[in-house]
Amino acid sequence: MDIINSQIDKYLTAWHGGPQLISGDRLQKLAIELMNYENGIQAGVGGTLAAAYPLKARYSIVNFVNNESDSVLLPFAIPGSIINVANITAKGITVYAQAENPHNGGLPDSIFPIASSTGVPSSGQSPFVSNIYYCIVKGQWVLFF
Amino acid sequence: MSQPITETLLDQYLPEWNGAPKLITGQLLGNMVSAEISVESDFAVTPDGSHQATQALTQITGGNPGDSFLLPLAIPGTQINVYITTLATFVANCQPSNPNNGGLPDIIWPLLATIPSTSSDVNGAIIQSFYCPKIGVWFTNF
Repeated sequence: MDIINSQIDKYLTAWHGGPQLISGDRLQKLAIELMNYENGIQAGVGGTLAAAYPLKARYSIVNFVNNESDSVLLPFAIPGSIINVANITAKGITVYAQAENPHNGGLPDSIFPIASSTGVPSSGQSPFVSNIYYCIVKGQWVLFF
Repeated sequence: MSQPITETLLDQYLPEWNGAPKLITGQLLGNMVSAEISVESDFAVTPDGSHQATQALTQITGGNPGDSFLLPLAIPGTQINVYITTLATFVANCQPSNPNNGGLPDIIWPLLATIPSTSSDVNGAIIQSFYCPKIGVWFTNF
């Protein structure tokens, strides 16, 4: 429950107790966190971490991939975060985790592929596949397809 | 498309969320957020299956292969995502009686199943999602 409260407090510290005024701005931020989307993404050319397109929305569609394994970058792995990435192109992409997460002591984030209990800094995503990345533990993305 | 669906989901829990600006119940709003982004990272399954997974994102770190846990009451709109950190296989059991459904037992439809069951295997090192689109009924992606 501490983590849950922490998540809520990040957005709406007034969200406790009985009827009260709340910040519309913060409520909007929550709505964005849960529902925002980005279409028309082009994966970063070259396939490197440095070139990776930074994903920002809960729902992202990668529409353009110039070369096989061009890359995108997940946001910071913060518990409760869910990122949906649809690759609707005929080429695979590389999905990177952040190299340094300030919310986790500056340690690198990692991705846990399906059926693997070992985290890796990046993971491939096949053509015409939609993956979901869940964060339950700070710094760790768990891949779902 | 998302706006009417969202309003329907919210309205069934928070009828005061309609119309002009007004005071709302912070606690209920917090509960709504909890249903969306709550996490439990040190969940343990047990031989008797008595521990109930209640958080939107649940990571199982303890237990022995074949141990089990309990899904919450199957209420439409609920989704529970479970991740096992090892390669062990555990069992998710449905509630034996759902007071929101006349006391009937909840059931689950595993992937490709032709008949429902009251339990489902949960494989290791994957996210398994349990979602309820109908009262008393869980579906799962594996």
